[in-house]
Amino acid sequence: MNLDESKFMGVVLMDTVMSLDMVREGARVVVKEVSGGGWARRLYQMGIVPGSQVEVVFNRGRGPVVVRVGGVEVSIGRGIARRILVQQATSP
Amino acid sequence: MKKRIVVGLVGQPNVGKSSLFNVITKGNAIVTNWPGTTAERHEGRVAHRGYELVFVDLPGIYGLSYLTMEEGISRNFIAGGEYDLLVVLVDSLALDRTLYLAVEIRELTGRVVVAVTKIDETHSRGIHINYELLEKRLGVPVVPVSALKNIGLEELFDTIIEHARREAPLLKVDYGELEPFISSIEQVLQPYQVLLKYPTRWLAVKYLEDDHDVEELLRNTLKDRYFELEEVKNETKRRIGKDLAAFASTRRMSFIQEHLIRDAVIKISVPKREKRPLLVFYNPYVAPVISIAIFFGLFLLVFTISTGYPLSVLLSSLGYSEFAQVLEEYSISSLMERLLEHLGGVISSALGEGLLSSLVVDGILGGVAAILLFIPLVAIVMAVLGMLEDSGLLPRLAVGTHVLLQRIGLSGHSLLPISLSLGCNVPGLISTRAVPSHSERLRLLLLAPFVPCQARLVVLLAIATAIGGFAGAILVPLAYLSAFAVFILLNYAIYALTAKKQRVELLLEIPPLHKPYVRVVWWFTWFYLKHFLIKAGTVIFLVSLVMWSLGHFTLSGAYTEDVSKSVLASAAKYLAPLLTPLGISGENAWLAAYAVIVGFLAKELVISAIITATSALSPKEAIEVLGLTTQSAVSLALFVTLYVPCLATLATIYSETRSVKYTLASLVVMLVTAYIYAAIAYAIGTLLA
Repeated sequence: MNLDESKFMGVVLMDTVMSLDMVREGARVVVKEVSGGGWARRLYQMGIVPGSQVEVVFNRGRGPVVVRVGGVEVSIGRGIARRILVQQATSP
Repeated sequence: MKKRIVVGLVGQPNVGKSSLFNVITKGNAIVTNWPGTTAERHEGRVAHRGYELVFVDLPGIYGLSYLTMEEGISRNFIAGGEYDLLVVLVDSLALDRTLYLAVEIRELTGRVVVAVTKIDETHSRGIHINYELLEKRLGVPVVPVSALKNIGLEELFDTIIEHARREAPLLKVDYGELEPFISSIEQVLQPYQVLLKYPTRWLAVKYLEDDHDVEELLRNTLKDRYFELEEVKNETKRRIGKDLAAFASTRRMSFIQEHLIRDAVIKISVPKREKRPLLVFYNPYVAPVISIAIFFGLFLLVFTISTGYPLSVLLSSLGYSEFAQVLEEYSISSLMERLLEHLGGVISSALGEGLLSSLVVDGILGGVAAILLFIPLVAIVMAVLGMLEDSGLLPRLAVGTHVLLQRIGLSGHSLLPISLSLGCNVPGLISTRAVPSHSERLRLLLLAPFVPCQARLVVLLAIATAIGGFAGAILVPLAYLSAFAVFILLNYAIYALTAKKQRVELLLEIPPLHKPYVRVVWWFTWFYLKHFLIKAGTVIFLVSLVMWSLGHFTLSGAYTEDVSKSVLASAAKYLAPLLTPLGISGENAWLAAYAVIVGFLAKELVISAIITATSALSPKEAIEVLGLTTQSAVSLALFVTLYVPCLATLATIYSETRSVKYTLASLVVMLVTAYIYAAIAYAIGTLLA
């Protein structure tokens, strides 16, 4: 992740792609890809689709990750969160 | 004759569908089963302007692809088309997400009215909705409603009558790069249009999304031309990517944002955010402790109201034995018992002695009593859980306990089935329908019956009082610990053997916290209580009559007042030697066997069976007659806690799995586990003494 670039441009899409379970609390991210498993469809239906904006409400490195999407909070088990690839939406 | 209009009520979970259904039907729903399943079909009728509106309440679904058995029911109903109209509910507070289902349905059918719910709260949240614009864009009527404030129901009924059976043009979502492939598939499908009964465009999109049911349908209809579709799909995946469902969902979401919501919905303030202190429920280290403390506290309170225990024990050990006695006397179970005793006395004296009196008092009233006694006890547990659920606390507790449950191969989704089972196993098993993982659900259906219900609490308390002393004091906690230990160990063993330690996952929507509404809590309570009443009411009642006959007639078919000469006693005498490893032997051992057989029907009958059979005045005296030592009484109590809870539970395992094999397996697992556990407990007890 290039910090200078993010400062420079104000609001940017950083190119680092990471899984949702690695995103720190409070960050807003854009979903890039949801991979595999029967859970994917349920995630899509809950609004977690590639391109949607998600705010990480809670993530302490253990236990489910809680995100806010479309005005609703959703708790996502870490195993599922690991399969959701995201990109940081705005720089701090 | 009134004209009938069949209306399917559909919506995503938490959009307020149950509330609306209950308000519409004023609680008068007709309950039947969905064909081929045991899931209940709730139907409510409303007379309106000369029409009869038949509302069918469908299980909540997020979209047309399904994960759980209940979701499959809704999908089949919607796709089946045997309705005049669908009312699709969307949540005014979360329109962007809840419109997803409405869009999917609008791609399939034009017989739709959209109802926007919870509009009593919309304004206070700073959300403004232009309903006319939304209506124009969706191509079907949009009606704002509020179940809690009774707003918009008349308008909804009027709209339903006006639009029933009217096919609006289908909604066309722009699938972008997918479009040329959709057209190719539609071309292949063209000749089969009449045969397929569904819009070809919808079939094409669902086929590309790898929808299992649609694939099956097309394979069976197209037969040797099916490969043409497969070719198109493979080409599509090469061009666009493997996960076409993700692609299609993304396009639907952006369709909602850009073509439905834009300028039609205005949010002035940001929706209410979770207050910081509440985040504690998500904390993986603190939340399990807090969640368990909340549950422990609540259940101690519930147990105290129901039976006096454990507060009464605490009070008497502190020297307030009078107060403890009052607490026990006015506990719900003792009040109900006295009421039923009084009733039995009145009937006995009216009918006199003899067969009829015995049939009415012991056979019928005994059976009814077994159920009646537990209605308030079960209802309290359901009401407490209903409050947790409606307030939004239960989903948070599910998240909080998920980390712990995961260690034993369960997920936060198991919290409700387990806690309902503490009240009654039947609703506990019913509630497993919402557990997304199939293997997790099967394990719960097999093992949740080990969780002690209120009936077993009552039996344990009676035995504990009878044996007294140190053993009596620790019996109840010991039995609960044993039951949970067995539940956890067996579940973990099966999980480790079958699931190869694949992680059990959680995916749960967490609604905002609010004060529980009495009405909603009552609906929750009634839903689960009803299952208890129906199952227990039919199964236990009928079988209690059979048991009464077996206990009052001799092998040669003569009526007898002496239990020891009855058919049941003969069977018990035959089985009695089996109880030797539990420390129960001697000439009166058959009485314990007799109680265990009767307890198979319903646990609460164990005590009354022993008392009647021994003609004792109290459980204490009965245990003396049985010739039980403290160790063997404890061992018997543990056996009673662990073996089949009741026939109604067994019937529920069958109706939920539809498998005789599985039901028999659960029966064997419970019996064997209880037997071995009780025998070991007796051996240890003897060693300690």
